[in-house]
Amino acid sequence: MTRQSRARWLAFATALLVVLLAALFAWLRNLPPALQAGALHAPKTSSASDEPGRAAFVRAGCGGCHSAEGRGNPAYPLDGVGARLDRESLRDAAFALGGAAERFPPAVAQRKRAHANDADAEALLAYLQQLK
Amino acid sequence: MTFPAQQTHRTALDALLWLAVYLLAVTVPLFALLPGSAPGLGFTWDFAMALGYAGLAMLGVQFGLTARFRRATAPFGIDIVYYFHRYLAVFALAVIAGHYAMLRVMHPDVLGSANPASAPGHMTAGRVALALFALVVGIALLRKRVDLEYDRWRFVHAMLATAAFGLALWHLHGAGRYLDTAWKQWLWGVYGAFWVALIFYVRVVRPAHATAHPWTVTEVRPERGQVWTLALEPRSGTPLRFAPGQFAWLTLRASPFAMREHPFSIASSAERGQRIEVSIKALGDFTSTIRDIKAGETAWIDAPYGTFSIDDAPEAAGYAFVAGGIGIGPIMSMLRTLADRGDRRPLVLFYGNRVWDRVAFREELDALRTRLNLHLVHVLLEPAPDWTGERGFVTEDVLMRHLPIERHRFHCFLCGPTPMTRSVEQGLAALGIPAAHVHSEIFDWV
Repeated sequence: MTRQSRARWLAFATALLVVLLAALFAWLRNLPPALQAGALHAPKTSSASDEPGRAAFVRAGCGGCHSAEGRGNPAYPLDGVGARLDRESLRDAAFALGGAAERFPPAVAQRKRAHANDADAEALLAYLQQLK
Repeated sequence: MTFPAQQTHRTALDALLWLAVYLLAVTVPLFALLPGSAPGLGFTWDFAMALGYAGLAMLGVQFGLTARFRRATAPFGIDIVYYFHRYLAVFALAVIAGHYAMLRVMHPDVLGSANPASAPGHMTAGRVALALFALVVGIALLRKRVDLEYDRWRFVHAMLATAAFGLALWHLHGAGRYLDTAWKQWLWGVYGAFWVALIFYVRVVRPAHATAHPWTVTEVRPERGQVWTLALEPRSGTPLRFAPGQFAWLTLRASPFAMREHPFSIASSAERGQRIEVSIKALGDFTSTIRDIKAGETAWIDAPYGTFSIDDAPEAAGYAFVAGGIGIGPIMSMLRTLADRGDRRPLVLFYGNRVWDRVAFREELDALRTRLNLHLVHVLLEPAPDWTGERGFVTEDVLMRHLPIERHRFHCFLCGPTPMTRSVEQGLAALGIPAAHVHSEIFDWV
């Protein structure tokens, strides 16, 4: 084997080990039954009535940090939020208004506030409200 | 461009140790995030995230691989480390692309809008980092095909890679949900800062050190075959300590900060470190300008590097050298050193060239036979009709005709074009010379 192909195999084996270790990391994190794992595979439950709200959710980029109905970032799931918060609290949390603003890091609060006056802001809130 | 590099299988244990260090450097910061973390969010989600973290760490280590730390490169040979850097970049790109692709396919809502005007800054940073990184790898792989000048490419390569790494760090700190406690943020902050500091060390601290230790070109001498020899002396008067066969990074007519250093084998005797010589064949952008260098000019040297040396096999019963063209450079250093040391062990030199008139150092090699126990075998590809010596390539037959019976106790040093090195390696193996006794130098590794 030439020195060059030896280097290629060495690099390949090393990268493969890195990928396997990344998989091990993911496996270890999910050793106890993952509480929210089911949410990832939950069937889409959106109905025709909440399509505009779902579209608003996607358009505002909420999925970057949150999941709803099994889609988006599972780190902060919003399923059930409609049962926990009333409409005004939802508005404050979604757009970092009022007292809720202080709960978020400044950059996050700024991103949330930027969507407070979107044309489909109400559709978004309605969508969140029905996540029960 | 031509030149040197290194040798093979040093201590396998050292090599394994450094591979382990690599894996630890990439994965320990990731596994440090496990304790106290929130429950997993499903295997595919966590796997995609882990690929992102590991990919960023691989990017960081890329800077370390080419930082030319002698202890880390010695067990492999620096040519192998540069090749490793090159191939690993492709695999690291695949890991990072895997991170993006898994999210694109399985969690498209997470990625949100790709429009930089509406997407969060850290998400745009991640996308741009991925694109830049792909560009860096693409340019590096195509550089020779599109004939991009080495110095310019190297500068662009370093700048783009540093920018991509900075953007990737921004992306991590905006999007990295595992960094949910102060100490985890601190850990990855320090980890990222470490690689940034390394870039600073290589690009600023080390050139500053070189600037403080200038050398002077004291002679520019033409040799046969379009080869030019530069003699260099340290202004400080402190001799360079090196092993015969090692090489130096040489900067001429540019500041050490300009990233315009080129690696060349030292051709002079290791016993004469107060005046070193490099012999350069006019082949590429930089090497063709060597003839214009004038005595008295300033040079900067970062040396010595490399493990292609008889001093790494001092116990050998004798040495066989195989040089192709300008591959004679490091071998001249070994022969001149052996002569200065009064070494009388048996030596064989196979020296392949195209035509007799262009055989660099031909006369000096003849003269060295009076000071060394040297059997000199010239092998010519296009010999004159009256040539009675070996002709063609350095084949197994040629090797067998001239190597002594106790050849299995010899150590062999090969430096020349890759096809020559490869076929001579096979020839030596067929003649029963142990692989551990065969040291080769890749000619064209940057």
